[in-house]
Amino acid sequence: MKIGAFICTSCNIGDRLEVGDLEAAARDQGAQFVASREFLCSKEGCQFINETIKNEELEAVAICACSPRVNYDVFNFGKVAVERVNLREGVVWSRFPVPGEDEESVDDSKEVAEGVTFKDELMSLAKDYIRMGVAKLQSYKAPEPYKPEEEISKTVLVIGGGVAGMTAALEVAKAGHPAIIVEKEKELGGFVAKMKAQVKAEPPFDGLSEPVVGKLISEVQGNENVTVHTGAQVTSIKGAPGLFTVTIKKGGSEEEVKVGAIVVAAGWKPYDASKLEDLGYGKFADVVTNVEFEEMCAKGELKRKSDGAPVKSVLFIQCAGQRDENHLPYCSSVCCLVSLKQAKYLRETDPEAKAYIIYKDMRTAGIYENFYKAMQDDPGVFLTKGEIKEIQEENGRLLVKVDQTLFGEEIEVPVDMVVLATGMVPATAEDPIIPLEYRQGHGFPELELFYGFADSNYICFPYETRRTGIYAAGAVHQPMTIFQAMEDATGAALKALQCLKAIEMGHAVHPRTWDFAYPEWDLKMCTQCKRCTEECPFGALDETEDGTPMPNPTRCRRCGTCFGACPQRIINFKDYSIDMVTQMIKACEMPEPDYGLYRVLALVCENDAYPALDMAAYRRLNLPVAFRVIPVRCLGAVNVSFVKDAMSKGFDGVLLLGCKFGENYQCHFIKGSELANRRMENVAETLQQLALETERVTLEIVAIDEVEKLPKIMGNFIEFLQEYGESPFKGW
Amino acid sequence: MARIEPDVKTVKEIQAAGGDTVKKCYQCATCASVCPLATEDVPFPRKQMLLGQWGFKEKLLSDPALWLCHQCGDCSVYCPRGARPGDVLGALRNMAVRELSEFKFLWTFYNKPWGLPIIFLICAFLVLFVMSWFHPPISEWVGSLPMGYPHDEGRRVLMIDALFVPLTVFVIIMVAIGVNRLWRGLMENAKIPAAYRLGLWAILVTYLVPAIKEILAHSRFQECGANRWRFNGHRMVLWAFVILAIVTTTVFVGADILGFHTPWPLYNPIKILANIGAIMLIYGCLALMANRSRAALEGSLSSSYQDWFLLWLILLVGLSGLATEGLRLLENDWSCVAYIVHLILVAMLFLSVPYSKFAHLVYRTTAYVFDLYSRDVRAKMAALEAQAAPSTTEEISAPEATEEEGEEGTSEEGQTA
Repeated sequence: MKIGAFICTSCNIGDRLEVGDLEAAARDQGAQFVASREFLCSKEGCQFINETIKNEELEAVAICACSPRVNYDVFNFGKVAVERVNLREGVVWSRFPVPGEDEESVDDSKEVAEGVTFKDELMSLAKDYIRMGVAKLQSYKAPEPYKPEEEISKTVLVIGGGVAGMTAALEVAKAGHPAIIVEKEKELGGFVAKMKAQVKAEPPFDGLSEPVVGKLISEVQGNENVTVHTGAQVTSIKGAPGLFTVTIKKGGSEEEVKVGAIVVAAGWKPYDASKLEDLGYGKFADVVTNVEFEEMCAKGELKRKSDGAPVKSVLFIQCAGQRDENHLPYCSSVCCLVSLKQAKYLRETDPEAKAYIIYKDMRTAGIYENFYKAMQDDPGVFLTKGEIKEIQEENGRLLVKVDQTLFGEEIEVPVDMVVLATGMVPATAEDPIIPLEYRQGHGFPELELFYGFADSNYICFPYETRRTGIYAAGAVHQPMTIFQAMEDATGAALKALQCLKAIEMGHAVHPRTWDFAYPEWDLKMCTQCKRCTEECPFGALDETEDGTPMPNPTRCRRCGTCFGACPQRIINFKDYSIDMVTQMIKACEMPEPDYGLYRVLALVCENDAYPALDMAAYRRLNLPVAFRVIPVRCLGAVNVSFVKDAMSKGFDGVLLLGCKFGENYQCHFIKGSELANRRMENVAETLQQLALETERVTLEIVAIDEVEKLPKIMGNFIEFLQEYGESPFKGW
Repeated sequence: MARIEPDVKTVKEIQAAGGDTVKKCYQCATCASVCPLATEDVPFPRKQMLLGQWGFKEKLLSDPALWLCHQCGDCSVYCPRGARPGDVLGALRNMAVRELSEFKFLWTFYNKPWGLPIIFLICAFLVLFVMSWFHPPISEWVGSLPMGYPHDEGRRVLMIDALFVPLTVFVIIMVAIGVNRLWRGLMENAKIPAAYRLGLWAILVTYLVPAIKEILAHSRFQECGANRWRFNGHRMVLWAFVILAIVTTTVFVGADILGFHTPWPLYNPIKILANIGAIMLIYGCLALMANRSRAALEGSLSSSYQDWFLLWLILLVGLSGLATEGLRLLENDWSCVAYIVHLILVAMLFLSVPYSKFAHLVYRTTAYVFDLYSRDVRAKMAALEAQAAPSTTEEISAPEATEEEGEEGTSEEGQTA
């Protein structure tokens, strides 16, 4: 591979560094062509690089200038591999000499150890970075798009034929793809089909309209791109995105279909009200759930169940069995709206009727505040915050005692009927819904983080589930209104189509879209330890019976967790390999023993911690010059061998900077940071083998905005290393 | 409150009475936080809005907050929901006046635009009837009124007294009924323990004087934020009324009882005072009217018929009085007409005390007295509790504490007696 190194001298690089020495370092490491220029990112700079590539027939270039997080569109030279050596943010903008106690100002000529100036340290860092950059390119291989042998299916399967499911199917069909709806009930429509009316889903969002479901059903039935299976169920999903084989069971017969992506719109079930006996359910006939009340109204049979008398007053109890640790701990977000809607039914049947709504907090999400406002204006709707103390029967009516009201005292309200605003339980809470034939099992993993909803990290990827190519929409995703469910379904349909396109092009779906490389196993050396198949956060790997991994590249998100897990180091990407990182570590130069200053390797999450480092540089925060930073795609992609390599090379310590893990994780790959933390045990073992203190390798958590923390974390680590002194491996 | 069964009608009634925005409130309590007059113990108007939404009229009408509000409009300006609590409370005060009054048809005449001519005719009839009884013949009115019959002052005096003494007695009785109802409601609503109840005299001596001092100084009014401008005008009108009351009383005693018949010369100190009072009344009234119009434009305050009715009535009383005086001094015959009109307007104003917005004069004063009194009661109760609290930690001393409490109670009762 013919490599060229281009060193930019602008943005303080030329001022603080000896460019001639840097050029020599690049040549030393094996770059066949080396040049330095002002403003490489300028039109002239890029033209120079382009011409040189052509004239010198370069296959790879190391751009020694700014961070890879900026100007990535400028330094794009087509098929030529590009490595960005971060001299600006990584060196000259973030490493500064510290004035001594009696010094007012200080420059790079300050002596920081016996016979060593700060400039020497800065140069040694810059040269290490350049050598690492060239070394990385030396192990680079051009990736090839993944093209499965089997034909890719462009069909989208939609599980659930409610409003969300039908919307998703129609959106898919409108984009020219076939869609298949599988609905377990005999009719399409889901819960909305049982409703009397819905809250308006168009401006001004303040009244009722006919449920949208009728229109959707006729559109679905009239669309030849949509196939509908009612009274049917999905019994098995095999394969991978683009290549799924789905078994649909309908009556006694089973049918296998090929699909490319799946939208899960399986909806919700009402919470089991029989657990709400303390609110009178099951005890009094006139205590009903909001779903039962809706059905009564839809049928036009709004009468007291106990004696068939007309209903003159209804008390709605909000959050019945919700926001309660003993029942549903969450807010279903729609029940306030539902009760207001049902209050309107009552008020419309009888202008003298009274609707009481006892709430914990009135929550009508978003624009539906308009409906709340409109209902508030109705003189027959009585609202107060309160806690239900007791419900009794008195003279054939119900007497509700409410405590903690906004009146500042307890009240007793006699009513004809009580409606419990029970919450939504996602279909995925009890049933996997997606019977995946994956090594890691059916269904979505770890939904308990989202109370059983098929949700995911809402900050980074609102639609992605932990299973590539499978997207959730509607109330199975989060509790939501009809209006939101339709928007959600449109989004999920778009995601499903994006997935199909990515697979067609042969690159990763998400979040490393456009990444053509994928992990490849050198199975000759595999010991069937199953670490990769178990640890993959996305269930991308299946297994043969003897435990040999069977990769499914279209399920893979390219996080490199398998690559980090493999003790045999047999998992590699074309453009990113164990050997590559090893070579980068080896390219660093270690000072002689008793040098007096330290060398630390930092393996840094490129999604959170690395941007934080760049931001530290923009603020000119001072980071210790001892650190050599290697960005990794995830801390999960850190192989223990990297630590071993670094320690044997003579590094005094290794710092791992990852993102937050746990309940409110911020990890792009969900588990990487957490896994790395768990793997620290293996690291400790390795260090013990080398007779080194285990504390020399430390993992720290940094969120993307915790920029201020970095100088402290890194400074503390250096101070900490001073207690242990230099690594005994120096000079070997 | 216990058992409640609101009815839709009452809510509609409140809405129709000018509280049309009451239902918009969503209980965020921004109003109670920004209100410069709401205290920790008597917070408003958040809760009053809720009571209004549920149609709890009784409860509202015996709430001191209703009268402690000076309608500066801070709450309406800051309300995120456009519920205009200040205006709602204004409407509720109107309703309260009705509920507290006797002969409610008079309230209706005073509070509905269509009642205006009726009220005018009633008062005109009263005035003309009494006049024609005491002061015939009608053909001689011109030239003899207001100050004619130089040798027969007795008749003129008798005429005025025959009209206004019964009217005053009637008004006082009506007001007494209203105040009594309000006070009882306040006491019940606040659940003042029997041990802390005081007799009428004790209340008047202890709390009415400081309340009146506060009212004259307008110290609470001054705290109002959004409509600070009202402070001056309102204080001027109040003081004008005080001055005119003093003047009237002096004249009543001097002329009607002692026989120093009017008109008194312009340099007479009482006459000077009277003219100053009249000018203050007109100036204050004009200031209030101008500012009310501005506030309506700014949206901090909306003005109802009742607001304008009272302001115009006061202004016209002042203007007609001055006109009568001026025309009399000019020896113009029209002074007779001005005088009759003035008398009719004064009668209207007098009669309006228990029925129009003017009632706030007595009810707000009552609420002030109650506020000062209930503050004292709360402070005493808190002090007792604080005394009793440490003893609850030591079981042995607990009975002693109860004894003490008992003693305190009896001594209070003794005071009352």
